[in-house]
This record gives sequence, C-alpha cells and structure tokens, in this order.
Amino acid sequence: MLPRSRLSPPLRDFELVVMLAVLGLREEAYPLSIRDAIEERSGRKVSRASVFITLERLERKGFARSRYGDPTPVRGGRAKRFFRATPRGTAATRETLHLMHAMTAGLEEILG
Amino acid sequence: MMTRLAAMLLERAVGAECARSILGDLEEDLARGRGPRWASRAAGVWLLWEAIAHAASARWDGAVRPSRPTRARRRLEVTTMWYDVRDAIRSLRSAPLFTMVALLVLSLTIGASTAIFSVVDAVVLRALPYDEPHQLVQVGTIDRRTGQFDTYQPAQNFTDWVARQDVFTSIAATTAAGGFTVSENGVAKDLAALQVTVGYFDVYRGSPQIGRPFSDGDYREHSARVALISESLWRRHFGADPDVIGRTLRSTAELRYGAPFPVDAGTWTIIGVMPRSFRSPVSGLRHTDVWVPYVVPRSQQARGVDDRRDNLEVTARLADGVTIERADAHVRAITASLAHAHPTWFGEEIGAVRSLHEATVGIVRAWMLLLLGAVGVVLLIASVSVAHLMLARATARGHEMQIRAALGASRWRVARAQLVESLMLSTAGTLVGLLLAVWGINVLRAALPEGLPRISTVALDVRVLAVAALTSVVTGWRSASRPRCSSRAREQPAGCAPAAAALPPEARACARRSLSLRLPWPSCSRWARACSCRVSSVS
Repeated sequence: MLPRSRLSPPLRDFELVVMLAVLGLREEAYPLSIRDAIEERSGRKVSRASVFITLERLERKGFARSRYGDPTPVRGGRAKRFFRATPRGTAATRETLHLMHAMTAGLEEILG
Repeated sequence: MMTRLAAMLLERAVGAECARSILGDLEEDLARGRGPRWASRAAGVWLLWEAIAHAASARWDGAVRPSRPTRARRRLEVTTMWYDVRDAIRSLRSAPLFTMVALLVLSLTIGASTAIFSVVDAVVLRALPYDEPHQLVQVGTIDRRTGQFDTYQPAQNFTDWVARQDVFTSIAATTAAGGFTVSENGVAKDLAALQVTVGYFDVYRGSPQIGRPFSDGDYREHSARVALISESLWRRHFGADPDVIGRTLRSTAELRYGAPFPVDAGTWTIIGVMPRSFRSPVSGLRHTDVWVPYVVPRSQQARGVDDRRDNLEVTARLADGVTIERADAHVRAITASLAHAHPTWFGEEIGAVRSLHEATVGIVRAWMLLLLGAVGVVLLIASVSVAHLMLARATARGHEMQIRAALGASRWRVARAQLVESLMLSTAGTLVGLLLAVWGINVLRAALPEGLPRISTVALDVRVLAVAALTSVVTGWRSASRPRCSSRAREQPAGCAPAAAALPPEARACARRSLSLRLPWPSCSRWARACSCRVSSVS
C-alpha cells in the first residue's frame, strides 16, 4: 500500500497522457508531434492549446524541460520547442501509473 | 495582418520566444493540410482563432507568464543588433552613389528644417523669459477706425491708468535713453539704455544679483543719478569687478541721428548689476545695458495740448485671476471716461490690453509658421524620395532577402535590417544636417530683418537638438516603411528553401557570413552545394 501522503497522484489524467507521449517520442517531442501521437493512440481529437498548456504546466512543476531547436522554413523560419521528461517527471509518471495499477487490481471483471 | 495580430496577441500572453514556437506549430499544421488552405483568407482567421485559444488557455491556467529575457538572451539581441549595424555599414559602403545621394538629400532638408525651426522656436514658440509670462500684458490704445494697436503712449495716459486701475499688480512704462557711452579699446561705444518708471522690476520680477534695486527716493525729481547695469556690461567693461557698486557711467547730451533722445549729461552712479537671465526688452536686437529711473515730468502729468509726447511703452502684470479680456474691458472703461472729459485728446482712440507675447511676436507669427510648414513639407518630400530610393534598392536586393529568409531569418529580422540601415542613413544625415543648421542659423540671423523680435536669442539648443533627433527617427522610419511593407522575404525561390534547410548549422552560419561580407552570389543551388562542400571539407 502506498503511503498516505502519496495517495493523490502527482500527475493528473491528461498530464499523464502527455508525459507518456513525451517519453515515447524521446528527442522528437514537440507540441505537434505530441498531439499527433496522442490522437494516433487514443483515436480522439486533441486541441493544440490543451497540449501546449499541459506542457507548460509540466515544465512549471519541474516534470519536463524544454529547449528551442533550429528554425525551419516550413515553419516560417520559427524554431520548434522540444520537450523532454526530467528524472522527476519520469518518477512522477511511474508513481501515477503504479497508483493506477494498484487501484485497478482486482477490477478486471468490472472494467473489462 | 492576421498573422501579425496573432503574433502580437501571443507575445503578450506567453512571451516572444514561446509565441514564435506556437506560431511555427500553427504554420506547420497549415503546411501539412491540417487547417484551411495555405495563404488563404480563412487561414489567417484560423491562425488568429488558434492564437486566441492558446492565449486564453495560458491566461486561464495561469501557468505561463511572459518571462523576462534572460541575460544570455539580452546579450544575443545586442549581438544581433550589432550584426545589423555592421551589415548596414557594409551595405551602404557597397553602394556609394545611393548613399551619397540619400545623405545629401537628407542632410540638406534636415539642416534647413532644423535651422528654420531654431528661428521659429526662438521667435514665436518659446514663452517669454520671465516668471509667469502669461500674466504679462502690454497696455496701449486702439484706433477704432483702423483697429491698429498703438504701443507708444503719452505720460498723461500712463499716469491716469496707474491712478485708476485695479486689475494689475504692477504697471510700468519705459522709454529708450540715449547718450550713454563707454570707451572700449579707446573707441567710444553707445550703450543700449532704458529709462524705467516705478514698478518696472515688479512687472518683470527681476532683481539685481549685486547691489540694490531702485528705491522710491531714486524716483524723485532732482535726486542723485543712479543706474543699474547688465551682467554683460559688468563683465565686458568692468571686468566683473565685485566692487562695481559706486563706480560711475557717463552720459552726454549729444543728439545724434537715429539714437534715442538723450538723458541729461553727467555721471551716473552704479547701484547694482542685473543677472544674465534678465533680458529686457525681449523684442530688441540689442539687450539693454543700462537702466535708469524715469520720472514723469510735471509738465506731462496734466493734459495740456502742447506737451504731448507719445514715447512710453506701458507693460503690466495681471493680478491673480484677472483675464486679459477683463483687463482690456477695464482699461477701455477708464479711457472712455477720460475721453469724455478730454474729447480732443483721444479722438478715435480707445484703451486696450494685449498679451505681451502676442505684442512681441504677433506680427511675424503667421509667416513664420507658414515657413515652418513649408520646410516640413519639403522634409516629407525628401523622406519620401529617400524611401523610393530605398524601395528601388530593396527590389534590387530581393534575391538577397529571399536567401536570408531561406536561411531562417524571420520577417522581423529582415525588416529590422532594413530599418537599421535606414535609421543609420537618417542619423548620418541628421549629424551632417546639424552642421549645416549651425551655419544656416548664422546666415539666417544675418539675413533676417533687425527688427524681428527675439532674433538675438536664436541658437541651437536642447529643444532644437531634440526636434532634430525626432526628425531623424521619423525620417528613418518613414524611409524604411515602404521597402519594409513591400519586402516579400517569405517568398522563396523554388528549391532554395529545402536546399538551405538541409544544410547543417555550420553551413548556414557560413552563408550568413557570406551575406554580411557581400560576397558575389552564384545561383542558390550552386551556392548551397558549395557551402556544403566547404563545411564538409572543414569538418
């Protein structure tokens, strides 16, 4: 059983989804590729603004870090903003997933 | 337009760098077909809508605040600005004919407009150099038939106005005094002297920096002859002697053509030195060197027919809360009652009050402002001409701009380079123009009529320099705006963008360096290959 203080997950639902996408994309994680990855896996439309704001929040919490790449002509000479998970972010993702697994154990019959 | 609006909105919400990356994401989406057709009107609206959504999310979430630029970022901006300055110098040096013509046009017009502004500012625009100058008025009479204001008044009018008025805190009269001479280098020189009545220094709120002002005893008939001298005369003739009090000036009773009516011959004891800031009257070409008391002669205190001499200029300071209109009505009423008692004395004249500033510059204001307007129009035409020159130059440099854009330069960066070039040109034009203005002011001072009010105060000062600097910036901005608006930096030649984008960062840096050095341009693809080869051979 998890300690009491850790019961509330460090990541909210969409934050977890975005963190998983960032971890999956590795060096190529920028808002558009993250959105595309989520849409591809979930089959649901996701707005750019929600991805952007979630990434901002994750960076503010110290779970992700961003850097600007080189400008590219297809983007009108503007740089991409690449994100990567920090060790703290990776740990938070692991913790959240662990909490979910712990809570869903034994519910397979109900949840399917 | 929509893109600029979207960029502005995002920059305010999330900061410049973050805004650029979001706009990049949106443009990439458009390019991938995830939105309206590229470059359509709908695309602009879509872009703006998405920008609003991002900005609103950021604000609502409170997670993002526009961050202050870091030290590294500020250093980078300074460096890129320095690159722009360096490129602009090289660019201007590479086109000497264009630079010379543009510089000539700008310096001539800025020089002319600065010189004219100096004159108009000193003569018309500047307030009178006294404490609360709006309270200073001139009292005289108006001819009802012609509407002409008569400045010079007989002592009888002045005496009655002093006795009956209650709208002025002080009122005084002056008249020129001839006959004062000093010997400078063995040559006798006339001094500009003024006889002043009681209250004169109260009207102008002036007091001596050394010594004492005139006392009531100095205004009695047959009292000792005393004089106040200007700071200029004190330095020039008395060597700034602090013990000047008690020394004397001489006056002669010689009546000379063109000189004012002389005061009594004799010696006058100096009782004080007026400060440099006290200049009176403001309208004269020469500043007053000597002030002596003026006592209205007994013969001119009564309204006789034979003893009328219209030689006094009357000035006054309005009491607090009294307007010029009210003072004018008051003086009119006094004069009307006097005219009723002495109908032959006034004739068609009626008392009047006008602002001293208006009295000083009113005659020349209209044509001076017209002149300033004309010079302003010439300056505008010149800046438009230079703008056209720069436009022609920008068209010729279209290829260079396209390559810059292909290398990743933003529209702002390309526009900024042109703006810096234009501002440098206008700044250089202003500096040369200022030299021309100094010369022009001297020419104007010599050429303008001597009677022009305050002409002696015309000079190149901080106000004029500020106007010249403003002119420089506006001219530079105006000159750069046309080329900036018409530059199509985003339209890249086919095949150029992918070729440039495919280059490694070192190759792009090499290309930028080539651009700044103005190396001859091969075709884009050949250049890209050459650059790639060079980088690979280096690495």
